[in-house]
Amino acid sequence: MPTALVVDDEPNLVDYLVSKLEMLWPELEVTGTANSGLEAITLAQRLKPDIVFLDIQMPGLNGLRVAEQLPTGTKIIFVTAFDQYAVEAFKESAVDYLLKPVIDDRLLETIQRLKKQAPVARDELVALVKTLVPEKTPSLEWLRVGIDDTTELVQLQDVIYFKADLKYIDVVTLDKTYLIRQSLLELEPQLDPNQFWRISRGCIVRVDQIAQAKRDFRGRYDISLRNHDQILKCSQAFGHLFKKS
Amino acid sequence: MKMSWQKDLLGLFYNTLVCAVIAAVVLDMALASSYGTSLKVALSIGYSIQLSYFVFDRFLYPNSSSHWVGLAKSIIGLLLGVAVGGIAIKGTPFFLFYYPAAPEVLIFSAIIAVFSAAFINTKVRLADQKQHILELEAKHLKQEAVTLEAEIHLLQAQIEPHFLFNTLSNIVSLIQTKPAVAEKSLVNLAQLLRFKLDRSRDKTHTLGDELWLLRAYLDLHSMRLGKRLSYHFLPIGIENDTFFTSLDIPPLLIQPMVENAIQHGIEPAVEGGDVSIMVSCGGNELLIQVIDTGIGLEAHSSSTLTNHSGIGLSNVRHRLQAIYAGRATMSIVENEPSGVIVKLALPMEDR
Repeated sequence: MPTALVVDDEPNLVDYLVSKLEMLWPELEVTGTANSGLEAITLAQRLKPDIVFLDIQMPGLNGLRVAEQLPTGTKIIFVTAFDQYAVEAFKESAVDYLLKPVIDDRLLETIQRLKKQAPVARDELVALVKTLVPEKTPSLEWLRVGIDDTTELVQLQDVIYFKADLKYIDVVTLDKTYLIRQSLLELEPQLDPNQFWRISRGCIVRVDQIAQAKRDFRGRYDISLRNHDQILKCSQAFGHLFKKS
Repeated sequence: MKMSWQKDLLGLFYNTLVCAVIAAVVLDMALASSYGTSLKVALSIGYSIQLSYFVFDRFLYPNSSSHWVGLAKSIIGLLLGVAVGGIAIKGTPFFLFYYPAAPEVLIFSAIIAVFSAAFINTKVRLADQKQHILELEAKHLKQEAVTLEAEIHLLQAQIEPHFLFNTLSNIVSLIQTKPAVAEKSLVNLAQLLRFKLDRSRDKTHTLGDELWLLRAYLDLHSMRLGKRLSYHFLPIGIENDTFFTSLDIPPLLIQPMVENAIQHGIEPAVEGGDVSIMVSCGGNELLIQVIDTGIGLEAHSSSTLTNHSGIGLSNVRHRLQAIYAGRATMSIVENEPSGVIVKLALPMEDR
């Protein structure tokens, strides 16, 4: 008798899929259920199920990452509420998937396939996961900043520009200016060079906030901003950023 | 053309100043017997020219830019001034015309008086233009703010598809086993969709409406996440329930803060957490805090596929700027031992 593991972080959905499977595939034995990625891996190693129904968006470790770590030979069915990219990729590959809410007819198709087909080759699965979850270098998303003796958090996407001011950096946003105790040199490598441009020794600006760059006779640029009145100076050394090719 | 009398008064002031200087110069050139006489003549001419300008600009040829009109008002003003000056020092309007020093005095004062009048005139006109430009700019800015507000409102009306399909799946899963919960959740979802899709912007939306919506929203999440989510509403120091029903706030302003707390705080946390919405008022400010005990910012991101963290909060920030123009603030601080607190301070007087 085939065995299965059902994994979803939402308990109602685990129960529902289990009851559907009991109804549509009585011979299948659901030997375990899990509500998180780590729990799923531990259970799978212990129970060695033939099939794992695996939700994609889960806390801790997402379903795609879990799939990589399941014992070889396990048949995996991804279950998702809405993951456009993943679904597109599944369609291109031999990997099967179900959409939530699960429809009986669709689940029956999957069951037929599971009865006949061998598990997807490990290599294909790993390659698929790699395209969907690229190895991300952890990028800076939030800044701890000072304002009026307190520490607040500012999202990098809210920053309009950074300006070096002696030992500090002014972090200018739409409505406030904050301070961070850091040098521009320390900060710069943590920023995405496609999103932030260094325009002078003391200034880094968010690219999508640049409204206009006006060249003066000395080859420097006056940068006007979309959501801020300040005009920033781009020095000659960084003028190439704005040069028409 | 409001505040026009202020500009006229300012013109009069400049005029007096210029005349006083001219009078001193004329005296210095020994063309007049005393500063008093000299000042009388200078002021007569200066004021007469201003009067002539005033009559021409206001009544005869308003908005005319013709040089002939300009010349006419200067000459008429000058002749009038010389006559008045004559009356002022010798009691006859023609005195200054046959006074021995007349030619020099006349030419000198005439030139400077015309210059001063022209100077005043341009100054006033520039001020007018400046005000006009400022008015246009203000109008433009206001329009921009309205469009921006509409755009952001549209953005906030979007429903996170993952949430929508998961919620629907949950409701489907409960229809057989817990029909009462399924029914309540479906009603909650309908209310949420109504708020999100209703584009009529002139309808009033009170703090009470928003909190009621948040309750429906959190109820849906709690159905999905089960034990992983708890939530509380904490009105601090507000005893009167009419407070909530009498205070208007922009619709769906707090909801993205709660959505953010759940999406990026609670959902990525294996153990889940608590979301509290604290409402208090101090002075003329309404303070709203959304406090979660979720995963915080450090461990974030490995569990989500799409990296759209906090777009909702950015929208709130832009919306505050569009609606309150700097009089409302949002700040984000870390919660202890984990999680995030988003504080919103809104002015209470005019919305």
